[in-house]
Amino acid sequence: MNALVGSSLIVLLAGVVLQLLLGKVLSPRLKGWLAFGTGILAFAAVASMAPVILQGQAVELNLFPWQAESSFDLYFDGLSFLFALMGTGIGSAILFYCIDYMAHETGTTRFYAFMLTFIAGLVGLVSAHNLLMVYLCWELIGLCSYFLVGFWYRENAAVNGARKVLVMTHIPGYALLIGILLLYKGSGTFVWTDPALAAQFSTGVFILFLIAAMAKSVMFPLHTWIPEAMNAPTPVSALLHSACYVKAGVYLVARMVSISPWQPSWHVILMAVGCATMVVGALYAMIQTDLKRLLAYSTISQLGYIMTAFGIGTPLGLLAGAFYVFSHGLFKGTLFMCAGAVQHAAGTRDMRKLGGVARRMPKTAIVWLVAAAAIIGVPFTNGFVAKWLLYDAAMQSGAWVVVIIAWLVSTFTAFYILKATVSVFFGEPSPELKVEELHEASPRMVGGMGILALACLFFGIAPQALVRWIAAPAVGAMNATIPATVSFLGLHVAGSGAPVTAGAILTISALLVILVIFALRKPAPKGVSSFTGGDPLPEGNTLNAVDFSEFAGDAFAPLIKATDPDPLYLGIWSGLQKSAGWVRGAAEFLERKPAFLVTGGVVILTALILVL
Amino acid sequence: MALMKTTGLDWRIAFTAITGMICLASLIYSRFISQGKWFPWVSLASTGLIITALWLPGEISRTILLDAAALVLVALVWSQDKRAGRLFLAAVLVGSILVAAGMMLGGLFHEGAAQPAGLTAKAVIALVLIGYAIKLAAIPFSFWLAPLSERSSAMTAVLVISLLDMAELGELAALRSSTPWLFADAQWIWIAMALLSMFGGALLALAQTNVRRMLAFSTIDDVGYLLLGLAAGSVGGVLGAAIGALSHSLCKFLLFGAVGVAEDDLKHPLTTADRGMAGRHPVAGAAFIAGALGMIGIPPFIGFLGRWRLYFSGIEVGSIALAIAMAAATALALLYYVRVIHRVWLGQPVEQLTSAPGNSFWVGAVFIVFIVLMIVIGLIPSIIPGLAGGMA
Repeated sequence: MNALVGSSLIVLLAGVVLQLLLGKVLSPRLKGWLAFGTGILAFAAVASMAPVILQGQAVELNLFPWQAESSFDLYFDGLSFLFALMGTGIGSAILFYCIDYMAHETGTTRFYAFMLTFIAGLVGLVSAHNLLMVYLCWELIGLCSYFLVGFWYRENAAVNGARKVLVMTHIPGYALLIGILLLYKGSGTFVWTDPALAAQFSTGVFILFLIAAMAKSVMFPLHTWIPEAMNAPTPVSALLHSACYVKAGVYLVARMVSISPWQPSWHVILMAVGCATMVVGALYAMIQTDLKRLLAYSTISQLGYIMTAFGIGTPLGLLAGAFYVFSHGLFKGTLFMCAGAVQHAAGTRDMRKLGGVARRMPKTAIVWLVAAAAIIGVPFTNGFVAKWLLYDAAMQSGAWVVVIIAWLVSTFTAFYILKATVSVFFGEPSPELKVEELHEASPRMVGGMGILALACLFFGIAPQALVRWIAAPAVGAMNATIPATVSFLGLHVAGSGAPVTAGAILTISALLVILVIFALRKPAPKGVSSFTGGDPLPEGNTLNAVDFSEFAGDAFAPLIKATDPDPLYLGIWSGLQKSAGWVRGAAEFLERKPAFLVTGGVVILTALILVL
Repeated sequence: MALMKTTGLDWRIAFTAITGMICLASLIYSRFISQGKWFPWVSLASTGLIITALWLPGEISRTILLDAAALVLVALVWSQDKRAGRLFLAAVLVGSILVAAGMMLGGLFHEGAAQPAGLTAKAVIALVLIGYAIKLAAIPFSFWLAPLSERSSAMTAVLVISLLDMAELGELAALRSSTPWLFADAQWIWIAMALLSMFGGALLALAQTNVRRMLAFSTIDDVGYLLLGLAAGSVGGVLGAAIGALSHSLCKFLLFGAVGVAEDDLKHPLTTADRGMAGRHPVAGAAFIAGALGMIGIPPFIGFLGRWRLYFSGIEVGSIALAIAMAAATALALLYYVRVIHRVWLGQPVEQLTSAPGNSFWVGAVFIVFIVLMIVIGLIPSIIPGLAGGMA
């Protein structure tokens, strides 16, 4: 069994080597099949660990010596299983989708090599036993995302997005490195299961780790890179958002729970960050007119939910977090692939230029509707269970503020997802849209996204499967026991009663709001008819998705302006450039007088050495 | 040998291998992109002198051979640009004289010499510190490096920076191991100079429009890190500096090599006004990006093996504040590299060149070998004895 721990990594890296070696001879489609086969094999290797993981055990393997202080040690437990399964499973579905999506692209060898390295990076990250290897994998997936977002490196928009990804995630990554080195200084080890290391886990280290996790997992105010990364090929966006990239930060936070018991203040900090992110992401999502940017902001908001669940920190909170993180991977991967299919067919992702797509792409529309229902939290989808668990955990721990914010944001989520659904798939097509050229996504593309949508439904109807086989081992790895009775008749939370009922009421009321909105926003021949409080609006003067964006933008303008950290970052950049300009002026002056410079330097340094 | 005793790294084997590779690569490069009539001979001569110096046991003979290599390179630079040659000659002469004077005054040419007392010790420290600061172009003595990088050919700059400078750094690292008082008695002055080089180099690099000048200041920035590791004096610090020097040599070959390819195509110096060069020279673009990432110390490149140890030595000597300062300087390095990568290499070209790019297969192959090597050593450092650490 031990050897199996490393096999997923080895399979993925072998896939990378094969892509590089055979790149010249294989067609893009064959490279796609090769990548998909590699992904499936890696998934099978991860899944084959299930018997051991379900028994609550961990598997260790020393892969190979790296440095004297830290070898490539693997430690695979329930938490590793959750994330590795997500990375390889959802990753494989995305790779299947890629076979047709990338069939006409150039540079596919580079594309598939980076995609597989990306997945391998996540598997390595979650399996790493020593923290230096964690950092290596952390940066490896960062580099992969940089190269994949900038895949179309001749296009300015793509490379600008890639630059922002690199700068905004790599710099906070130094906080992780410093935190790791502080732990090493105190304990003399990089192995995170060593009690000596746990004893050194202070608030300072927690903050440093959290900064790194916030940047990777798009927490406010380090979230602004992700919308700019939307000029990547859609499969990259899907992988980035659903399985591999943003989840790395979540993993780090969850792993911190494994390493050391948390102080109460840490929970408060994480919940505050999570709630702020939830709100900011949803607000910005509401004002978007670009479909992928809307989904990007929704990722920010959803990651806020997940972090909040871990911030609650109770066993039920951890269960909610584990359930949510996997569920989000499924429905967000699906939504992105649907968005990609629409863009592929229509040549645009601007919601103002779309509409009525469902008639020409009915399968894509159905898949989208399932995932949209899941992200909103409609019953019988995994999103509903995830939200239910979160509300229940928050109420049981008395975090009523979290409940109220989460409920409010759930409503916002319903607003913007319905806006996207109506704008893209229903109503009259935009005059700019060449309807006759629209075509349904290829069977493989529909298959890739459809399998994830089916999983959303399956885990919504039978959440006990996800809880028992995936989430519970992860919670166990975080040194907690799930407070839920799981049977094949359903999921029953042990502490059920008033809080559960209240949670149900909240969830159902949010759903009722959604239904009312949906009813009011039924597709109409021109725009979307709306209730005005009196007589209907005249023909041609009805609200539509663009009006909605403008309305949300106007209504929340002060809040949106106040929560945009980009002007601050721009100010820092401008300040640096000004300082650099001054230093350059002085240096060029001194460069013209080298004798003066050397004499001055010698006098000052000699004086210092003599005096000190 | 002193370095090996302290860190376990056999500097002679490691640096000989790197030097030999860079010499060979620069010769291949010069066959396709002209580096001047004398380049192949000067390249062989200077490399031969440096490698011989590495393997000689005596401190005096090593110093003389390295200075001789420096003078050979001065001649090469002079033949390409007189002003750059003059400044380089001044740096070589002043630096060498100061270091030699310091070594003689402190009796450091003889193994096991006792630490001199009082003012003599301080004079030795001052002479050695300033001499090496000039040789390594640390701030405030960096006056010669930017003109040299800007006005000599790409591979000439590589020979000076990747081979000569880093060989000198190896000498300083050996001195750190054999004569610790040189550093311990003035530790904060070494650290201050290191920080000045780091931040000064980084800010100056950020302000440049000429890419070769930016690369020169990035060397100064990186020298700051290496000096900091030596100033810290721990095993990790010295090993980090030595690995950093090896990584620096490889990265600078890629960076200057890529710039040389672009300039050969454009027929003018590469500046931030140029755009989209990777579209015409994808392998050179990849080489520049890999070199930049290696310089910053991003894993899995070899630079990371040195960089984390340098951070750790910073924490050991100055606690978290020094580590945060180092991270801030690295963030600046990321910004100036990314600025050039995205302005010059990626995106759409502004200048519509009508001629074919004329990429050489062999130059591209050399770049790819270097990139792969940097990753392979980064992941399997034990292929070079002692590079994986291990001396507690």
